[in-house]
Amino acid sequence: MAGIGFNTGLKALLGSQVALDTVGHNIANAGIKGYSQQNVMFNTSSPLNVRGLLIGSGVQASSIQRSFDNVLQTRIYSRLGSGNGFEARANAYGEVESLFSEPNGFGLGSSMDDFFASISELAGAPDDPVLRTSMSQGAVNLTSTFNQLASALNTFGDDLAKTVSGETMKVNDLAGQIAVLNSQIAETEAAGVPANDLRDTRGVIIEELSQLVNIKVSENSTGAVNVTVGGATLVGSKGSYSMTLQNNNGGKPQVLIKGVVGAIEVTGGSLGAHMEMSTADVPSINSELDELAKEIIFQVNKIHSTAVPGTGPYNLLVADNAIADADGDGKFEDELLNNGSLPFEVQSGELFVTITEEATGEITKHKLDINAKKTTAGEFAKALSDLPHISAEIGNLGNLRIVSDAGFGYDFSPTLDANPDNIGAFGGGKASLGTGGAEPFTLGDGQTLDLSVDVSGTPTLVSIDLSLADFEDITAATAEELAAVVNADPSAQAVGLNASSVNGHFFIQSAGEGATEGFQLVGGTALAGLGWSSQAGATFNGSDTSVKPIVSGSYTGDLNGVYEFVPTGDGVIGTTPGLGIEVFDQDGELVVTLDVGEGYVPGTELAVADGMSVAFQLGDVSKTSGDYFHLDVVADPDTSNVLVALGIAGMFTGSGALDMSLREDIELDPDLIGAAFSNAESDSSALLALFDQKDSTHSSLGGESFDEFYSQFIGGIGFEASTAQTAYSANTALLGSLELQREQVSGVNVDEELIDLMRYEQSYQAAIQYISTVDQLNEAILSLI
Amino acid sequence: MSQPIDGLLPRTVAWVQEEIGAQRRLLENLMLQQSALEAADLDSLDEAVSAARALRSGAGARDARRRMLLKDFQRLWGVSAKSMTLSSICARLGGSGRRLKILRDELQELLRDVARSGQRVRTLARYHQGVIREVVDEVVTNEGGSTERRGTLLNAEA
Repeated sequence: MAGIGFNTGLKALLGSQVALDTVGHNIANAGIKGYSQQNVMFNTSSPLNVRGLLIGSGVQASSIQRSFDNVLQTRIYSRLGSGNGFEARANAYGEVESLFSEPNGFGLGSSMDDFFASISELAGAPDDPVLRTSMSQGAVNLTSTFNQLASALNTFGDDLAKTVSGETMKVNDLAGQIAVLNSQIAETEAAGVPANDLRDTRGVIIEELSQLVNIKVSENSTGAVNVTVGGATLVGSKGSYSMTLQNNNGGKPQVLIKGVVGAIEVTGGSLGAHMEMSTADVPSINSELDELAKEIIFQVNKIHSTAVPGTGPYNLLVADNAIADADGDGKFEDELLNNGSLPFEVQSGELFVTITEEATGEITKHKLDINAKKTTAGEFAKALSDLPHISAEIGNLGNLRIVSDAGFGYDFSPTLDANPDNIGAFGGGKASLGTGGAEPFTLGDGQTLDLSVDVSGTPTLVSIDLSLADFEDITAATAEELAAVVNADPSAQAVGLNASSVNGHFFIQSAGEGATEGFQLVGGTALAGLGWSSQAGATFNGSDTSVKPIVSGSYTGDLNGVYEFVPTGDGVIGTTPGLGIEVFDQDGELVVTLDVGEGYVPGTELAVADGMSVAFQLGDVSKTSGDYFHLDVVADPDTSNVLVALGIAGMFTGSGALDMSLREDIELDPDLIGAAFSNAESDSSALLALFDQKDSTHSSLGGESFDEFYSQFIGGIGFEASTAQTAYSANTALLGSLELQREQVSGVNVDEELIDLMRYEQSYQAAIQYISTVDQLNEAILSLI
Repeated sequence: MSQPIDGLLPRTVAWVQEEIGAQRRLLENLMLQQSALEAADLDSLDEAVSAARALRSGAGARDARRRMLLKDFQRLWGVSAKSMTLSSICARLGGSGRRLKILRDELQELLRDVARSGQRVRTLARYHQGVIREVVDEVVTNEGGSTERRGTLLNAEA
């Protein structure tokens, strides 16, 4: 029996102990996250031949191996990252969704509906103070809702930024732990001992890390793992590298890893999701909300700034938005209106200013041209000041201030000028001669215009000299320049001759009205250039009657323009057979010929076009004398958007969701709400235009209305939340499947392990009992030996 | 005298040979059990124990034949069966009992081997039982185990 001695038995017992210890270890760690089942690997010594029997010399435990699948684990890391990312995104969008929910009808959608409903109600009774207060309150509710949502989104964004910062610190902590375990594992395994439990511990930490960021894990020959994030090494053979956050030039946080140049792309895990939410999604949501608020401010203010408030035309307005001193020279006047400091862009266009004499209600309309690339704030203020009865200046803080003279008011409404022939150039009572055609006029230096006026029965010659110095370009002289020359001439002044420019037409008129007024066009070298050659020697007399055209109605056209009225011949309104008045549009196209000849009852309104009518009184009109008047028709009194940009006469102040507010003076006095585009009582045209905005489409909102844009906005948030939740669910199912597979490979079934133990126990007991039986049987035989 | 002993001797030799065969198979089985225990191979152990139980099935018949032989020798020689041994039978037979003596020595050696082997199997099995009980005690009294305890695996292997 040599060879089956104590040594063999000891090996066997130690092997058995290791196997059973492993079973116990498996059971003890069955509930530990990341634990991989361990199995004892035996090898046997060569057997011994004893009396023809091959007897084993024992076994020994050669190694203890983890049941572990690297490929499967890599997939699990990936799924964990994606899953946590989807979950973080779903949760974040869930929070955003809850911000925009409409509890009890107090959300943004309801506020917009209520605001436009209050406009609609006020439009039915624009003078009702209760309804004005109601609309004011509706506007306050709308702006408050925008403010709250924007503020809540900002807070949420700040919270996300803090979360990102905390997760970055967590990444660094885990990376440090992995680096330490790497060293311990490498040291242990260098001694030939598999560091199973340390590997399991490291695996758990890597899993935790994979839930934070998208990582790639590779193991080197020493057993240490290399962990990379976005291609940059987070844990390497020499340790871990710290991850930091730093704002880029755009102010957005980006991830940096020590030793790597440039930002790291973090796309997975909760950190990746929170980064994306913080830097892209929430700013985008905020931006869309801002876009909606900005468009509402713009469209509402654009209409409101051209409306007439319930209190009548303005006497004083101060712009809400200040122009910035961009060049830093301490002056605002030299700044371009479009220098980028205003919340809305100023574009090239025109602004119509209506000045009203409060005592008479008489209005005059004036058009200012604005060049986006040239017009400065100072030039704009001067152009306003150049208008009669108002003055404007830029204040110390860059805000434009417009003041009217006492007894006058102003507005920017599209209202039609009911009395467009202010100077009586169309059949008025004054003696009048017009050019018939419009500027420019081809004149020459030293040319003269000779007129004769009877003064107390004595003809008095007035000779007006045209000088090169009086014109910017005398060969293309304007009616304005010509009128200035005539009006400055002392001899013309002495006999009471006045000159005017009417939409490019040049007129000379007597100072007084009536049949006794008159002057003769004697001659002069300038007659040809003015188209008056055929009129040389003709006398022009005033009239005791005045045609005085009266315009009524509202312009319904889409574009701003000018209608020009010219008689077809010389005659008396309502008397001369065939007498007509041709109406031309701004392109010179004939719009209509109004029959004012025999049979026309003076004072009868005649339809012109686009909702307008005109009536003429009894009187003489003369094509020969160049009778002419024009009517500015205004669809948009401010095509330059200068009023909205400067914040003049708007309803809302601010430029976005966060700072949007109802104008303070309107909130205090709802009568300041501009309900009409005219001074007429009960006119609610501006309110109706405001209400139309509810369903109007806007190019800046992608061709959608406010409601449609908001619906899509909310739908987009819901879609993102739903998509993230669906992806999370799908990922969870996939992760569950992978973890089940891992459980099958690495997991410990406690029941099976305990059953094994019981089976061992029974088998050993059976062997012991059998030996006892054999001993008893052989005892009898031995006694016989 | 010769006739009776001539009949008894072959029967005695046959019985001893039969017992030697049985003990040899038993020893083989015990070796298998020992190997199974040393290898902690529970399946082989169960298989060997089952096979050993089958070996016991012929033990009763052999024991009956042994008792009958001893009675016959008692009648032949008038010696108490309890004091009868194979050694004394061989001594009485003298030269004719030489082969029986060889077989008796072989059987004796086999029985000693079986006893030793049985002792080893019993010792191993009891040791295994002890370890299992320790493991169960460990699990029951220290559920989840301690890090220190788990760490001993590496040391055990070393």
